[in-house]
Amino acid sequence: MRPAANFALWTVWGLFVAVATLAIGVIWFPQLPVRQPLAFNHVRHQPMACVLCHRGVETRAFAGIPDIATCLNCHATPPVKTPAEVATWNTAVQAQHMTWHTATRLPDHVYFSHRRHVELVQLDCAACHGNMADRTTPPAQPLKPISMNNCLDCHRQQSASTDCARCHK
Amino acid sequence: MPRWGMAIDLDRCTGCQACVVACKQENNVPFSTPAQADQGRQISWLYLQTEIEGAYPHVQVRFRPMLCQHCDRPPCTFVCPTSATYKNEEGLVAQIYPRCIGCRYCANACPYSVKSFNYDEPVWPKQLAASLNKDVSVRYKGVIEKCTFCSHRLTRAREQAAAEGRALREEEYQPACVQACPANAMVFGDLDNPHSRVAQWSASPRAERLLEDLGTKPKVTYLKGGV
Ligand code: HEC
Ligand code: HEC
Ligand code: HEC
Ligand code: HEC
Ligand code: HEC
Repeated sequence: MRPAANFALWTVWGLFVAVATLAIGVIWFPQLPVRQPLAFNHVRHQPMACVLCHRGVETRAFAGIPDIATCLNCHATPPVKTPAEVATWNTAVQAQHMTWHTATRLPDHVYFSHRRHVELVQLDCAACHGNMADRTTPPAQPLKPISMNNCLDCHRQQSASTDCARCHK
Repeated sequence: MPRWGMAIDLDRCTGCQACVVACKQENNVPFSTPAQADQGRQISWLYLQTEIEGAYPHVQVRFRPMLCQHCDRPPCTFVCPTSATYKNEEGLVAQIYPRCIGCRYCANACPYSVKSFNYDEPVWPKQLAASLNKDVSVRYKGVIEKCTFCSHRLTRAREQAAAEGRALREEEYQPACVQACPANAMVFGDLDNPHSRVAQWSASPRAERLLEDLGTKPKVTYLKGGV
């Protein structure tokens, strides 16, 4: 084969591999990984009831992530060691606010209520969130993927409604 | 299973537009610019139609709140190629935005012209962006939207009833327009419950349903001619 043809072939092959990798990446990781201000450790807080921090799970639609005020109830001193994290902690204490992000997110067009599922149906958090209680670091992706099929599978099993308008707002 | 419907007494309506404002606020209905209005592209889930009857000097003006009639045989759902609009078991005609491909067949099939198309991305004044209703999604360019009878309020009411371990009471679910009407000209409830006010109003000899001869079986009833 002529070198030029060879080169073209390799270019096409290289492009193909690049596009395929990108496609697989997009399918595997549909959202960008979440980065948190601190390496929050769920295991270290184990005996605490989830609702102490996620105040909304029994009464509201949103579970909510605790702000720094909740942490300060127990942590008079920064519970972190690396200088960078101590700095983050001190800034948050001063600003009285720490910005956490959530990996588990629904699009704007879906209505989901924690009260409905946690308080009224008595579902375990793990049914939807996987084993968050045993996490030592914040997950960059939801431990269990959130998809319409997952919602519907359980709704069919437990004969809850599958009417589009009940979930889509 | 309830069959939700509405009745509006036009003789009580003063045309104050409180329902229109309440609807826009509740459902995150975007503002339209004069340019959009000129092209007939304004978005409204509920608007007042002015009707002038008679000839001078015996003229009467009426205001008719126009909204989705939630037909029992909705022409819009029959033409939707993706089932983005459909009638659920409680008779609500719903619109599932992510399913909508924006073909506008439904808007054209609707004899009441109460479906609006998002020709543009909605724009919110900064001060209002924070007061959007979280229970209703903000629609985007390329989808059809219309009155839902505030069905998100039904979801909320059902959840509250479940939390208190009892059945849903009919009066717990009221659309924003009905709640806002200062003249009590609108009632809402279960048409299949003979004791409900909406069923009684709908059976009134003053009752009329719009374009009933098309066979759409609308669930919004207008009352007029009593004064
Ligand atoms: C001391 C407070 C605290 C307690 C107790 C706590 N959490 Fe959390 N939780 C957090 C913080 C802070 C975050 C955000 C950082 C992270 O993702 O780890 C979080 C995040 C989460 C998330 C969201 C993860 C995501 O990004 O999608 C889930 C789910 C969760 N917690 C479940 C639980 C469950 C289940 C329990 C009880 C076993 C629990 N949490 C107890 C503080 C707490
Ligand atoms: C109910 C009291 C309590 C609350 C509230 C609380 N913590 Fe803790 N936290 C603890 C205890 C107890 C430990 C464990 C200390 C140990 O094992 O040495 C701990 C440990 C930690 C650690 C160190 C983890 C590690 O890997 O060693 C971090 C970081 C931390 N907490 C962050 C937070 C943050 C952020 C919040 C607020 C969202 C918070 N805590 C709220 C009690 C609490
Ligand atoms: C039926 C499934 C389900 C169950 C059970 C459930 N969650 Fe969630 N959770 C979700 C979904 C879906 C979201 C994403 C919500 C959104 O984006 O609107 C979420 C989001 C969260 C978040 C992110 C922040 C927020 O306010 O939405 C936290 C924290 C959380 N859940 C904690 C919990 C805890 C703690 C429990 C158990 C007491 C629990 N969840 C039980 C489905 C569930
Ligand atoms: C593990 C089981 C389970 C999963 C997963 C689940 N649900 Fe549910 N959901 C239920 C049950 C059971 C009910 C019925 C509650 C009742 O009747 O009181 C329900 C009720 C609801 C309702 C209220 C319906 C009504 O009649 O008004 C909504 C909305 C809802 N779920 C949304 C969701 C969404 C969105 C998801 C996915 C993110 C989801 N659910 C995942 C079990 C589940
Ligand atoms: C139990 C709750 C539930 C019901 C019932 C439900 N959906 Fe969904 N739907 C969801 C959730 C949650 C998502 C978001 C999933 C995600 O983020 O991947 C979704 C997403 C979608 C999407 C967008 C998919 C995408 O890729 O953006 C469409 C379209 C859709 N639903 C249509 C429907 C239609 C049509 C019906 C009725 C036949 C229906 N849904 C019923 C929960 C529900």
